[in-house]
Amino acid sequence: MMYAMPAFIPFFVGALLLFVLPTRFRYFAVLIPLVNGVLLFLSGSNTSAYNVDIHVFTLQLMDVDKLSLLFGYLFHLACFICIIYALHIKDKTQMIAGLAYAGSAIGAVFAGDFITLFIFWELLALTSAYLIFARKTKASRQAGIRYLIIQVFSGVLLLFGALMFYKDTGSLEIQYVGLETSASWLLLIAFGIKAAFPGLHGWLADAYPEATPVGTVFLSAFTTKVAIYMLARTFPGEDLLVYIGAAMTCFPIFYAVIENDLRKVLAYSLINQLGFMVCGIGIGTALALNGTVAHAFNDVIFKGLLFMTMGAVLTRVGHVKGSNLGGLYKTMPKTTLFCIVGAASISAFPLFSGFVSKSMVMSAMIEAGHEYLWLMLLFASAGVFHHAGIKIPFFAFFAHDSGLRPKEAPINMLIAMGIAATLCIVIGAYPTLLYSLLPWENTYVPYDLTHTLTQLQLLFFSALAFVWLNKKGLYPPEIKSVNLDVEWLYRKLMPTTGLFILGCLSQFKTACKQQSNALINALPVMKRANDASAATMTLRMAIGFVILVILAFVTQFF
Amino acid sequence: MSARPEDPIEKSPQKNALAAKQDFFDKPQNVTLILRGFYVICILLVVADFVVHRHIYLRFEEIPAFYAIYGFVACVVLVVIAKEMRKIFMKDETYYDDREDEDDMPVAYDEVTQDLVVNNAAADDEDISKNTDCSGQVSREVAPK
Repeated sequence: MMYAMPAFIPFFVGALLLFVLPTRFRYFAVLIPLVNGVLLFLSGSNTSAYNVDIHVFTLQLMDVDKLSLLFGYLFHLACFICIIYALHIKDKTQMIAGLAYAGSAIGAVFAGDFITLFIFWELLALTSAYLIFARKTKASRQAGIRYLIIQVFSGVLLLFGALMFYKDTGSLEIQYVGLETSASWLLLIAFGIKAAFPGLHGWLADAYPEATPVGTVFLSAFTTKVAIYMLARTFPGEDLLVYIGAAMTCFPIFYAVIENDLRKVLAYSLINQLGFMVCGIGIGTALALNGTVAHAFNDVIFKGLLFMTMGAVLTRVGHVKGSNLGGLYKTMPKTTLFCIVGAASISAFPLFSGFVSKSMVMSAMIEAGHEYLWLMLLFASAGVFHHAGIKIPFFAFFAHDSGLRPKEAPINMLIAMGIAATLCIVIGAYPTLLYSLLPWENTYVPYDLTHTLTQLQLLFFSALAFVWLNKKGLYPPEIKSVNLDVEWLYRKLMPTTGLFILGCLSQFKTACKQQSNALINALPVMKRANDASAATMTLRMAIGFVILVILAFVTQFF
Repeated sequence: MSARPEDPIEKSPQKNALAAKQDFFDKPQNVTLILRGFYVICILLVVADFVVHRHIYLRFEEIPAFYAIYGFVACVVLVVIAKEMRKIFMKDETYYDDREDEDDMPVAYDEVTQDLVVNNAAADDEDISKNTDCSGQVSREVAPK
């Protein structure tokens, strides 16, 4: 069987149909990623390319290889889970946006040239922004606009970079770029914005926690992973990325420890996980790239699962503030269970999915000889267990009893979380299922005695540190607060400086006006324009003559 | 959940929470029991480090129980630095937005008295009641397992 059409089409058609049809037809949306995904999977590498000729330019809509196929499967799977998770919502617009968003992501990974990519890159931004606006709070509206501006800016950089790349090489095909020309820097920054490089990550921690419960699950799956995919295509083996990635793994965990909004904790932890992937791309060996791809696959599922559990809490309780939660295990036991599975997966516990993919990047790091960076990654691994593995389930579901007795999550949410949790365990227990899909040749064996033992030691003693700090009362309590991050630059510094400069300028303008008025008043002759007698005319001419002489004199010296 | 045998902190509460919904974690002896099991596993893991022959790839790994020490130290350092960061970066919740259209404060945490102020009116629905087993005054010392 051969799949021979652009894979994103069913998603856009579905979104359009849903827009026209009554809301009750939303249940059929589940079929779109399911059927399309299964067809694509059965077709596999036989899937044919699909090009559209526009005048002299060819848009390569389906450029299929093992790498793009794996991301294609992943996005179908993620969209399938997300849509099940969203079924209880009567507001169909979120599902329309979600479908179009997933379609754009699929379009982007199958894009064969930069112009096609640019189209889907911007569509990703537009469709996903609605998932933030749909929360319908003032904060979410503003965060959505900031998100949109930054995302569209990334697209503009991509277009500029692509055009410059075309000028340099005469080709628009997506291929290895490497950091040499200014075009490649523009492309790197464009991808870097969506991949949340340090300093460019503000939008992620800002917007994701403001989206709807469903919206955040969608958001966490697609945008950043498309960026990782593009980096893996265009900049594999770029040494700079190893350092960027290592920084990305480490700095967010500090924020995650002190953050109160649990979805924001997850957003920071998402940046941390992206760091591992960026490191893998930077190393660029087959093992590292396989690790990156495998980790992206697992991350979509376990991070999605964690966002889903927090979304369930948000739906039932109305907020996800660690300071006001606790004891929810009593009435939300299933959600608690799923959260723990997600937490164990992200922490890379043996038999859970994170274990089989994160370790590939770590081993590749050792092979590449980056000893100290490896220590940073190990620090981040311990840290991720600390904030995502323990903090999220502990403060939401255990900790002190908040007195909240919310109902268990809606059944469709539980099904979606159940699917994700099952995948986490299945991939963790039978990694060959995932390994067989990896684009490069793979001989990695995750379960050996050394690796299992060392990972368990690392995790258990991280947990011991948590217990010890808690017993000693040293653990920072959850406090209602915001923590300043790079977004401070454009949310506080820039507006304040802008207003300050504006104030200064308007003061200056007033002062100038007053001065010139005073000056004009000081020249009484100028005021008597009507009675230009001989005397005043002579005076004016004399003044003019003097000024000219002075000017002539001054010019002699220059 | 047979797939995760080595996770006592998080597994046992779940299993038991299903059986005895209301009070498993409210009993200090249960928490102590879990913690004891956890400590035993930690000790066993360190002992295993001397029994089992690990493959050594890097010179750091030659240190006995390197991963255990590193994991513990890393987390303590992480928390200590993060706590210091709060002094600089932590601002009031309304620092950027007023957030007045969000009514998400069913429970307030009184930072002075370290008590929970339960506001039942705003909490979810019918099944919230003054709990028999926990009066909403659980101190933070009991809560951490």
